[in-house]
Amino acid sequence: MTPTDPTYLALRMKAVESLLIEKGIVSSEAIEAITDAYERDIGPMRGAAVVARAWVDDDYKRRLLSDAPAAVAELGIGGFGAETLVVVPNTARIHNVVVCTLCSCYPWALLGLPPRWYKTPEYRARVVRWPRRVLTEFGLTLPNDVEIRVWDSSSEARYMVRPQRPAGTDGLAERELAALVTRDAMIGTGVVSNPAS
Amino acid sequence: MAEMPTMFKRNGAHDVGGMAGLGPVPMAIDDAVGHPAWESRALGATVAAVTTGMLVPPTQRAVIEALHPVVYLSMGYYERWLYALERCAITAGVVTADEIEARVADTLANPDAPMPVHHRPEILDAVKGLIAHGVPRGPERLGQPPRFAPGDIVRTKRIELRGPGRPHTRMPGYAQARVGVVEMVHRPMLLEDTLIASGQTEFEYVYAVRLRTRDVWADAEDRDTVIVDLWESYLEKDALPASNPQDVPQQDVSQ
Repeated sequence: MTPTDPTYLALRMKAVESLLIEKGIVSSEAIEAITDAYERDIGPMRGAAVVARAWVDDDYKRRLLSDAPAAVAELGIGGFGAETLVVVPNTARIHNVVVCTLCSCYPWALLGLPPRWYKTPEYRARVVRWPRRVLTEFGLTLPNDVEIRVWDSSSEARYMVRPQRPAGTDGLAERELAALVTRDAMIGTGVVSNPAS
Repeated sequence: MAEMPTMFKRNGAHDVGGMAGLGPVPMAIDDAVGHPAWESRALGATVAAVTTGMLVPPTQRAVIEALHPVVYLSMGYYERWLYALERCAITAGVVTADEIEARVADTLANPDAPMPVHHRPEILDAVKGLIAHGVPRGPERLGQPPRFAPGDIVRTKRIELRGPGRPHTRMPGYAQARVGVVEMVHRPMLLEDTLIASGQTEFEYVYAVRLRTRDVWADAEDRDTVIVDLWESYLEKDALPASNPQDVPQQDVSQ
């Protein structure tokens, strides 16, 4: 495929789709069921609900860290990546970051489709080797005594970070807490901050 | 004991972990742009093709990894997916390369031609099942227990892909020939290496193995670590005495 302009690729995709429909491999409705699900219904709000629940409920947090697939199923969350989910907790001493150096594995069921930068060679190549430099590009500078743990998703396990709860949020309800949790905080390229402070 | 840096073994252009010479992460291309419609359809068609068995993810990966390195790095992410969709359709005998090129020529000449309509409720149902429940997991345990436990010191092997019968692996180049500590034991997973090499379905325990980043790259920060998931056959027991295995990546194990 030498021509790489978007118009050409769009028409090539259309050609392949039409052939696969005729051969009974796919259908337009099935394709649209997938694109609707991941562009409309499934996104980082799911992961944020899980994080907020773990912040307010210690028993839930323990279940989440020991058996994430079962714990997210309690909140009605399943699908690609949920069945092999592992949640890694940030602490005052350890900051976790998720990557897939070989392709772009990502917990779709919890965070939706990955952002475009997550799939670039720049992120995949550099965050394993120079995590501090890469996090600085995201505006995140961590204290020198914090160990950065970069999780390379090379198997079917899908990693998600449980960020630290920001100080001064004791009075917030679970739903308000969930609204503070960003996608990047669950990838590990960000942290959750308290907007009131 | 000392590992020579020259033992670093990269398996292909996809195996980018640690690659130097790339610029800052291009974050600006992200949310403002979103996915063009054709990329969404490439994603949707790929997932639908998984439900009908035409494409399995390990094969999709192997097809993409076989791309010439220059081509791999110059293609967009979903461009690779479209390429793999075509290759998998051809390999499965669903279409021929000539059929695809002929249809592409027709579509370029007549871009507004209507899409054929085939209602296939069974495909739609299978796709909805995948969205809701994901893919079936492998066995919960194997006939034998896991060979390693959390805290064990392990040595990672080298994988020779150019040797006979191993065109694909999930072991990154940077993780080969290292000493690390088992951080967690995952459930058994399909070993993609043998599936691609011989079509055999084998399951192995998988371990999250913690490496000291500085042991892999001399210019890395001393206190950072990288944790990589490795199948049991990628690992062997290390002969080092394990006085305090949790601390080993913090020490220089080559001394």
